[in-house]
Amino acid sequence: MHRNTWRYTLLFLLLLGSFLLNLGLGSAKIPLSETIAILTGGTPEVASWEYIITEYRLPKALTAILTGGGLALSGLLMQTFFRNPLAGPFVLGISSGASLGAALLIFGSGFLLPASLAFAPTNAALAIASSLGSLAVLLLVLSVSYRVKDAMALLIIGLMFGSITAAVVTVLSSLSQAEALQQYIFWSYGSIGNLGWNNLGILGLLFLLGVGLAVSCLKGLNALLLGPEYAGSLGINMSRLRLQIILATGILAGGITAFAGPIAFVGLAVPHLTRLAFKSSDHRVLLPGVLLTGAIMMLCCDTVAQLPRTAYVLPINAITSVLGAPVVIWLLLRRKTMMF
Amino acid sequence: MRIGYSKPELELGPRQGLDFELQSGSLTAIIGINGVGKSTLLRTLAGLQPALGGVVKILGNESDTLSARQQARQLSVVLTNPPASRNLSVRDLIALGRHPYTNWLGQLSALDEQCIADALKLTALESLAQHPCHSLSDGQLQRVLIARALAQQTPLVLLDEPTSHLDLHHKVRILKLLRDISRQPGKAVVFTTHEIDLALQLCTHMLVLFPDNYAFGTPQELIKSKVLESLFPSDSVTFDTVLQRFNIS
Repeated sequence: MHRNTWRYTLLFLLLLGSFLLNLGLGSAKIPLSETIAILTGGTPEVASWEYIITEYRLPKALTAILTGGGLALSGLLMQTFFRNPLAGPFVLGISSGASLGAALLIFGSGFLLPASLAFAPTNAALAIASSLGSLAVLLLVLSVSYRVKDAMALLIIGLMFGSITAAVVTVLSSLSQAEALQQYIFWSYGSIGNLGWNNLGILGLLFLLGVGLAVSCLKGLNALLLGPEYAGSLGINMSRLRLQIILATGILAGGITAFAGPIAFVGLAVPHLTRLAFKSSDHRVLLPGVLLTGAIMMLCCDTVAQLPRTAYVLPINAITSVLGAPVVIWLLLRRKTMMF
Repeated sequence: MRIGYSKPELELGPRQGLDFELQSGSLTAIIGINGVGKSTLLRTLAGLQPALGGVVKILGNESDTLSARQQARQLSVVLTNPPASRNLSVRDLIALGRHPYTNWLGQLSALDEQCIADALKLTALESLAQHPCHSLSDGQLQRVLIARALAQQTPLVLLDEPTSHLDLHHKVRILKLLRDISRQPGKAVVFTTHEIDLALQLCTHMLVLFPDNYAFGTPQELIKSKVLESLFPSDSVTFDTVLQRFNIS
């Protein structure tokens, strides 16, 4: 593993660079030296800068690191599990489950309560609703996975769950008020800027849980590179491995979607980029690699989405798609077939 | 032992079941016409699918009473489906064969490294060790998969049609490799094949599977008892007992 030391060092430096860049750029102009001063406990020239950095930009940057790394890791798990280079963290219907939860809360509150009492759900309520939604779909997929052993069939079942929930969301939205529709659309843009330290703590806990689960099945993941039958013949308990992988993905992708909304392409593109950079399929090498690369990609996307020096914020989900989709196309053209 | 599938119910092989014993040092070919249950028998022996009845014993232990890890130290397999990932290097793929012996992270000890080196040497893959598997020919990939099973260091090695898709030279090469492996101390090798002519020349034992019957013995015993003559319909292929090969009738 010595040959990878310089790669990790480079990625770590890139992470540090994009982290500082992300903190330093935003609607308010704060010099980099001042940003570093605030981070190291100094007093800035302008008192409000400290508030901007510690209460807004720092939690946002940390959220970017957790969401980017977590989505990339769950993408890696899904690609190995489904033996399909186009699998991503959302193929199990996790994001559609979250959308359904969010849609039911936003649109449902409009139907059930008289107009005078109707309320706009808070972010915390939205997070709870969407995580319940992902959990429900995940449990459904998990129960199906005990009957259907074929990973390809499970992949298609996940996609079908996605279609059904999308249809329900469409029906709900066609029946609802403009304000509710607008709130749902804003949720679907994805946002990593309004978590606050408390929510960030919960997200961090879920992140550690998901990464811990993934680390515990590293050996099984490597054996899966040969296919499930070979993995079984190597002494891997396949039903336990299947459960561990689905749970880790569910916790990572579900938790992240609950707090940050759906964020596309990070989970799909980053594992491929990392495999290319490390020239390896060994999950012991790739796991830290995708965590770092995912975090860097998310920090850069968020920096762009902030439109530095302006008051505008673009939807982060659109930025990751605009940057991620060409990466996937480029990989396909470059390597003829995407291998994993 | 009885073999087949439980859902939908389909029993393959002879009704009275199969009963045979393999000694270490033996190289056994399972032959029979398409669909008679060769692969099903092999997969049942490997524990990849449950037996409809009866047991498989390895070194006296019933194989389903062993844990997955213990079983992985008793038998290794080479299957017909290619590895899911073609991005692994030859050496990394072979190293996966050491999983039943390594810790939770799969770290290789000096002994593991030695087993991998031995497997590379026996299969003559040393020069290809760092190549990615997608750059290999079919014959080379088959040798890599056999090397992986070798690195697993099991008394029983099971291979499902290891010679399919290969030309005659590579078929012979693979079969000779299997013979060399079976001559290593404490190893028995079993494989399914359609190459009956080649198997007759190289194997110590053969298991001939018919839809309602089976025969197990050395090639000479099987030729003497004339089982091979009834293997195929006599209006298409006949067996020449003198030349020990099949002819078009």
